[in-house]
Amino acid sequence: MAIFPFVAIVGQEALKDALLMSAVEPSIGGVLALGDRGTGKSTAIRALAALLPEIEVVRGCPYRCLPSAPAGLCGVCDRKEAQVSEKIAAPVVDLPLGATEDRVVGALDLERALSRGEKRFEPGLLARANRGFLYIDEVNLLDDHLVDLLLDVAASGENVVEREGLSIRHPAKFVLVGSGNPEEGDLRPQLLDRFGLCVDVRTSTDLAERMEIVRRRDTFEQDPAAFIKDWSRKTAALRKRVVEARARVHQVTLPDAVLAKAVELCLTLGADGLRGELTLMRAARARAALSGETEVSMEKLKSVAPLALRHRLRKDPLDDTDAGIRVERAVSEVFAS
Amino acid sequence: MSPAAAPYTDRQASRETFERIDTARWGQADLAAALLALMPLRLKGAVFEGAAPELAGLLQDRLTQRLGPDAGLHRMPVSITDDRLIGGLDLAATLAAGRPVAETGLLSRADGGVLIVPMAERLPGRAAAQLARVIDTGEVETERDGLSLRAPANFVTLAFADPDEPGERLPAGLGDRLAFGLSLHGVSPARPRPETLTPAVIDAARARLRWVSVPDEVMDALIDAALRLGIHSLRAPAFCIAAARGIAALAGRDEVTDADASLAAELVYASRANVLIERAEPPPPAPEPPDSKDETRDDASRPQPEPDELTELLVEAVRVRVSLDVAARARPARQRARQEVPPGKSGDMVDSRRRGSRIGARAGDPRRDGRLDLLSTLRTAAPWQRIREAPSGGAAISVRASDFRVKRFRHRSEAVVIFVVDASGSSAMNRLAEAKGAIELLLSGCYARRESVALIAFRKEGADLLLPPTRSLTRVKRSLSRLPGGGGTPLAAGIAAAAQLVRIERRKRKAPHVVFLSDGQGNIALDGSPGRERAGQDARDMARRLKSLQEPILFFDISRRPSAQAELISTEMGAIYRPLPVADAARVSRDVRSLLLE
Repeated sequence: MAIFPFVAIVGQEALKDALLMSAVEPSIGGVLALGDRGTGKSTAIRALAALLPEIEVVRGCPYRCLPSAPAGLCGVCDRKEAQVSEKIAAPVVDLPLGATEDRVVGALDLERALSRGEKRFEPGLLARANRGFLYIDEVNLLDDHLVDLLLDVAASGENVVEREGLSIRHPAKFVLVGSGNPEEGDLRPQLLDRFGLCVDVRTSTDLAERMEIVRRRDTFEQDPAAFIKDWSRKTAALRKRVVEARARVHQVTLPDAVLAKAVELCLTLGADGLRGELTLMRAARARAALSGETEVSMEKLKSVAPLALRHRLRKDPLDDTDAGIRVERAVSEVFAS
Repeated sequence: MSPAAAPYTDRQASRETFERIDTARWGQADLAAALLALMPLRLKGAVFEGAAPELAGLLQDRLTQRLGPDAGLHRMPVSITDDRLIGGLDLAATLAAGRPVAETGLLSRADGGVLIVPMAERLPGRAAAQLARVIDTGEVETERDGLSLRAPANFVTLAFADPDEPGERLPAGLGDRLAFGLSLHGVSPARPRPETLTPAVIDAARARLRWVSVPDEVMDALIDAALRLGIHSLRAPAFCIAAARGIAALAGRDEVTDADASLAAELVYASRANVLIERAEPPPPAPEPPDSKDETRDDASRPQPEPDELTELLVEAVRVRVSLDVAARARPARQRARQEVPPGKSGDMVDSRRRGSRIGARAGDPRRDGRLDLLSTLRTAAPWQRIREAPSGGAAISVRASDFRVKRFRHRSEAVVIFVVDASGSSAMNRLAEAKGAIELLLSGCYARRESVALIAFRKEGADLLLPPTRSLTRVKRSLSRLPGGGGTPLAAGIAAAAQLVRIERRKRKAPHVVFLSDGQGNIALDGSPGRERAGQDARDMARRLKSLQEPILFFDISRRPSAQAELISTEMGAIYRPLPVADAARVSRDVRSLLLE
C-alpha cells in the first residue's frame, strides 16, 4: 500500500517536529500522540518510514546491528568472521493489536526445534524495531503488562529473554511512539511520563487548512504514485536535513544560561525528577541541530518546552486549564525574569 | 434517465408521507451499496441503523452481486475472539501434524468480499480497534503464538446497528472509517423497488470513474459544509468527495454537479453531524421538510451559485435529512419490534461479570497466578508432542510446567458507577454541581483509574443520559460543563433510565453500580404527566424493578432533613441509604468508594 509522504502532511507541526527530533536524537525517549480521531496521527507516523534515511546493517543479522558496532552486543554478529554490510530501510514497526508476548519479545523457534531438534531463538518485534521506531496505535487498548514491558525495553535499549530454556539478550534500541484518544479512557499516569515527548493532536478547524488537507489526500488517492513522485524532492531535502542533524546533534552546545532556564522551568512547573530536565535538553539540542545551529538558543528551549513537559505536570482535578497552556504560562513567567 | 437520478428524484418528491420518505431512504441505502461496489477501497463501508433483518439481507445480497462472483459474505460476531478475528495457531492441526500450523482469521478470509458486523453497537472497543486498523491498512498482521503472518484484507464493511437505547453507540473509531451512515428505521422490506443499479451499470461507471472531475467550488463547499455541521474528522469530507465522484460516474457524467454533491453530503454527513442533533429535545412529532427548502434546492442546481451558497444548500440538505431521521426514530415502536430483554436472559451474563471477562492467557503457575486456561495450555504444548517423550501413565498429551497458561481476566476494574441525579427545581444547579464534583474526584482521586462513570439527570418530563459511561476525565469535563436543570421531578423516569443503563452495561460485561442523589419525592409520572400520587406509585414500581437486577445501589437523601419518602424508595430498590443534608462532593466520592466499590 502506498504511503502518504511525510512532507505533504498539512499542519500537525508539533507531531512532525516531535517525530523528527526523535529521529535525530532517539534518546529523547519516545513520543506520545494524544488526540481526536481522524487527525492523521497514524498517517504521520507511518509516513515516517518512507522519510527516514536508510541504515547500514550487518547482512543477515536479525537485530540489524551496525557493522562498526563494538563486539559483545549481539550474539549473531559476534560469531561471524567476515561481515558483509548492506543498507536497508529504517525500520518502523507497527505493533499489531492482539500481538502476544512471545512474538513481541521473541521466543524459541518452534519449527526449527521440532524439525532439527535445534534450540534457536526466533527474534520478535523488538528485534525488528532495533535502530528504528516501534509504533503502538491506541496504546490504551494494549494490555498493561505488554506496555510496561515495551517501556522497560525502550528505556534500557536491551531485550532480555529468559524463557523456554533460552537465555538471550539482544540490542533493542528504538523510539517508542504511542497514540491514543483520551476520550476513550485516560492513560495510566505512570505511563504518561515515561514517554519523552507528548503531543496534543487536534483537528484543524481552519477552513483553508482543511481544504488543503482534503485536496492533497484526494489527489493522493486518485494516483498515489504520481503524488509521491511530485513530493520526492521535498522528501529528499528533509531526509538530508535529518542526516545532517544526526551528524551535528552531539556537537550542539548548551550554554549555561539556557541550562539554568531549563532547570528553573521544571521547578516552576513541579515537573519532578531528572527525566523532565533531561528530555527538555535533549529535545532542545535535536531541535537546534535540525535548524542547522550549533548552540541551543533560548528560543529553541521555549519551543520544545510544551512537548517535553506537558505530560509531567501534577494533575489538579479542579484546574481545567489545558496542560499545554500551563506550560506556556510558566515559560513566559520564567523567561520574563 | 440516469441511474443515480432515480433515488434523488424520489428524495425531492418526498413530502408528507412516511411511505415515500422511506422509499427514498431505501433508494439511498441501495445507492450506498452501489457506490461501495464501485469504489470499495476508497469508501470502505457503511453503517446502517435500525434496518429490518430482511432489509439488511437484501442490502448484503445486492452488494455482493455488484461486487462480482468472487465476493464472499463473512459475518463478524460481536463476541469474536482475537484468534478467530486475526488468526493464530490451529490447535487440532498442530497436534495432528506435530508442527505449528497457522489458522487464518476472519478478516483475512474476508479479503475481496463483504464483512457483515451485526449488532455493531455492542462491538467491544478492542475488536473495533482491530477492525479499524485493518480497514486503514488493508492488511492483517498476526503476531501470535509464535506465528508471524501478513495477509491482504481489503473488504467492504457493512455494520448494522440498532442503538435505540441510550448509551449504546457504535464505537466511534469504526463509524469514522466507514463512508456512509444511514438510518433505516421503519423502512419496511416490502418497499424496495426493483434494482436499477445493475452490475452492468456499475461496470460502466467503473470505467468512467477516473475521468470524473470535481469542480473546485464543489470541493470547497463540501469541505466547508462538514465543518459547519460540526464534523471535525477529515475522513468525512474525503469520503464525501469520493462519493460525489461515484454518484456522477453512475449517472454517466464526467463532472460532479451540485446535486451529486448534495446527495453525497446526505449519505456521508447526516450520521456524523454534531451541531444539529446534539440534545435535540423532543424530536419533532412529524417530519417537516419545509417546501421552501426543497424549492431552493431545485433552483440552486441551475444557476451556478457562489461557493457560500452551495455550502448553505449542502448544510440544509443534511439538516433536513437529520430531522427526518430523528422523526423516523421517534415513531411508534410497532415496526421497530424491539422488545426489552428481561434480566437473566441470554446476553446478560450475570455471573461472568463477577469474575470479570476473560481477555486472554499468559504464562504462569495456576497455583499461584489464578485459573488454568486449558485450551491455551494445550495450544502451547501441542507443537512439542513429537519430540517430547510419550507421557507415562497413558496420558495422550505431554504437558510440562512451562506450558501452563493461566486465564487473564479484566480486573475487577470494570465497575461502572451510574450517577442518577435530581436536576429539578431551584436547587438543581447545586446538586448537579455536587454530582459533577463527585464524579471528577472519583475519576482523578484514584491513581490507577479503573472505574468508568455515567450520569443520568432527571428533570422536567424525563431522564437524560448526560454522560455515557466513560473513564475519561477530559470527556467528563467537556460534557458536564453545561448542565441543564429545572422543572418537575420525574423520579420514576430517572430510576427507569438507570435500570436500562444497568442492563446495557451488564451486557458489556461490566459491573454497574448505581448512586442516587434525590429527595425521593417525584411529582411527574412515568408517562410525563404531573401528579404526586401516580408519580410516587411509578417511582416505587421502578425501584422494585431496579432492585430485581440485584446491583449495588447507594442512595443519598439530599433533603434538608432525612425524609421518610426517600428512605422508602431507597428500601424499595434495596439501596444503602445515606442522608446528605449539606452538599459535599468529597463525601459523596468517599462514600461511593468505601461503601460501593470496596
